[in-house]
Amino acid sequence: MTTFSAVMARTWRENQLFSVLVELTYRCNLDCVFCYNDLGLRGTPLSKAQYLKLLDDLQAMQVMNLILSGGEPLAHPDFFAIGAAARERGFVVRIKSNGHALSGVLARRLRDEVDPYIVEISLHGARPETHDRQTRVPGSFERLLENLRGLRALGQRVKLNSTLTGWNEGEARAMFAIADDLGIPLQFDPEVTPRDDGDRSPLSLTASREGIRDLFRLEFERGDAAEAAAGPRPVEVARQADDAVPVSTSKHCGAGSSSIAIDPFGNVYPCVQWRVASGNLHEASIQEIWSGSAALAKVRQQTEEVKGKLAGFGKDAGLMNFCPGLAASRSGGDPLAVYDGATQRAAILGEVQAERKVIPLRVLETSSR
Amino acid sequence: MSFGERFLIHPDLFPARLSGESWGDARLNLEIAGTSHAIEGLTDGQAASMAERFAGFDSGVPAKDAVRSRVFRMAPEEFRAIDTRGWNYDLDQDAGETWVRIAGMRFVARLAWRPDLEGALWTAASDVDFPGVLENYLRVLAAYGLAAAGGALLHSAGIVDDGEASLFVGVSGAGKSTFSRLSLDEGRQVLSDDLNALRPTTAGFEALAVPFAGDIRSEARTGARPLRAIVRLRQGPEHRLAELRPAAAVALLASCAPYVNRDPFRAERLMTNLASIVAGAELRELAFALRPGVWSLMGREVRA
Amino acid sequence: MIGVDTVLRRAKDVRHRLLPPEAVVIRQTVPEVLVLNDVAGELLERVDARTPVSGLLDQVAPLYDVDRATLEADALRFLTELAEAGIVEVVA
Ligand SMILES: C[S@@+](CC[C@H](N)C(=O)[O-])C[C@H]1O[C@@H](n2cnc3c(N)ncnc32)[C@H](O)[C@@H]1O
Ligand code: SF4
Repeated sequence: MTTFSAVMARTWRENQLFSVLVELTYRCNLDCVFCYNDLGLRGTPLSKAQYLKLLDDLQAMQVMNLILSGGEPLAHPDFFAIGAAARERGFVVRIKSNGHALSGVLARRLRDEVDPYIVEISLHGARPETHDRQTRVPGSFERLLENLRGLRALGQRVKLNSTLTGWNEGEARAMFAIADDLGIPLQFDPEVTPRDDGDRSPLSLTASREGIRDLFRLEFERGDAAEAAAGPRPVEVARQADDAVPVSTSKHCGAGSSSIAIDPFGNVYPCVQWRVASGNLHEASIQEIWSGSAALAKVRQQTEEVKGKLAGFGKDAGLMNFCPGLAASRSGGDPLAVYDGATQRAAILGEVQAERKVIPLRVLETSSR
Repeated sequence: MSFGERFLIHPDLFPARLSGESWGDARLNLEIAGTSHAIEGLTDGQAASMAERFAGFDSGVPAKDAVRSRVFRMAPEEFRAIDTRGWNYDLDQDAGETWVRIAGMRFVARLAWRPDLEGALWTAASDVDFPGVLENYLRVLAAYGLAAAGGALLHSAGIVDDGEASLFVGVSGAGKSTFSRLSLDEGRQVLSDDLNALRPTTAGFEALAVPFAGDIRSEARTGARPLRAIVRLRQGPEHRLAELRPAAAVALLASCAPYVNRDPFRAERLMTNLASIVAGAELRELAFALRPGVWSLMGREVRA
Repeated sequence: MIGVDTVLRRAKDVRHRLLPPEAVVIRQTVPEVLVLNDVAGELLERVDARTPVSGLLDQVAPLYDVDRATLEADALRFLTELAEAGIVEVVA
């Protein structure tokens, strides 16, 4: 019996596109201080007809996961038409939303017309002062909690994402408490990234070393508690589709080989965090870009080179959560350039593991992007 | 009712930053009350209908220091259906330290100081009803732009006499349009019978026409004229001219400075501007009757 | 009991894609990821709430170099498993 991880490994190896993240719009009803969106980017937005064509093409390519992000995807003028079309075409739809407007009619329409597999929502703090300070919209914290309860009551599967920042790092435990109380999983990403145009101003919100260390400690602590509560593990654990980490491939990640990202103007990139211009949907179809883009071909090769280079870091390689896209944006273009964030992360995680004197086999982590 | 609810089905989707889906690649450059405006993101049709509507204010090339506005598409389903019979159209307005937001029929807008003034307009209006929407937006933008520049946009009739402009201000129904017509008949030029701009210069304030339609469309809409007088206007049985006290003049102007006068974050700024306008102008109160001769009275008394 | 005359439909929460020689199925409500073999994937793809299993077999047979009896036996077994897993439902 083939495992899902093995199938995922095959998608990486054989360049079988499986997950597509679509940034529908940069319109947003919040205005987060550290948002990576490049609001200066210009271009012709994809039309509704172009989105429908894209979905047809992706379905024909057997793409399974469609992630609608932004901006606030629900603020796109054609969100429901696109979402319903995605559902009709059998995609597993994930919505990345700030949750601010997900109440009442909108929440119900989302469930009934788009039927997302999951809605991933960002939490910025455990207190209104902190959350609203980051989102720059007064009242957004209270509104979010209310909407999360509403979504749960509707039976919508929800997950919370949070980027650890210098402003909220003291509240990680309280944020987990909020999530537990709501019965919603919460995943932290300890890394603040530069803006997509290269501007580094978001980095001023980067969490402190101690903040990151405390988060890792907390995560281990919670992992232990969950394990103790759950008792012995079943042999096979069913996972969400894109959480499976392929084993033994020659590539560091699936960027450009099993997944891509598309911005509101039709620009195609290997990953939402690795913005190498790989084609534009105004000029070519996604099939043409997928099979013909020289940039994607190079990226696929670079993901192999990254794997080779990281091997030199021994056991630290697995602790770095290295992202070639971040490496490229931080070094001015080199996806192999090891950056502070990655080595620091390995060091901190190493320390925390040493405290525990137990080395886990691997740490599963994905970015909250 | 909280902000936007009158017009929007999902007020929580209100844009918090200036971004979205442009309608097209066309742009328009307008000169409004001495300020260049660059309006981007239009369809060719939208740009053409606007250029026609604002003919004479089209400045052709974008100025370097132009106030930038971007126009974005918004779904018609985001707006409530409104029965406009017997309804007084009034925009919803909300303000913060560095921003202003507006909701209206088939559009929402946001102004931001970052630190220079910029704006964005999201609308569901297609070509036909677009000019009206853009005009509504530009009126707000002009009002805030002028206030920030030390001036004001004022509901008033602006009449040019002997190269100088006087603003006639009054409650609605005071007879601004009627007075403007009488003034035209007496050979005076009308800047606008509805909305006029005042801007500070090194030599006092100047009055300018704005391209927003009143009943009377002036021929010479772009020229700036030195401000002579602020006149409270009302109709009466006889032409009669009297003095107006400065405090009363400031209060009067404040009541006629649309949008900005409702904004708690900019009230102080506005009052300061109005006080300096009043300090440099002749202040009068005029009752006028529906017959000729009012300007001989105005001229004689005002210049005396 | 699923036989050649049975008509099946996919459960509403099933999302699937063919990645020969496998197929991936995600049940949205459970949530659960399953990997099917090629034949099961091709059958699932063709399940349409109208065509009886025999019709599905007619469509799938040309894709595989096996005799009809073997294919039928395999197919019935796979479809029964899919039904047990809640991925397909019997219409008639
Ligand atoms: C850009 S948002 C788009 C989806 C939606 N608007 C939201 O906020 O969830 C995607 C995720 O990236 C996070 N994010 C934004 N800017 C970031 C940055 N500079 N570094 C790290 N995470 C960031 C957000 O908090 C959010 O969880
Ligand atoms: S992080 Fe998300 S919610 Fe915040 S401004 Fe960016 S797109 Fe909007």
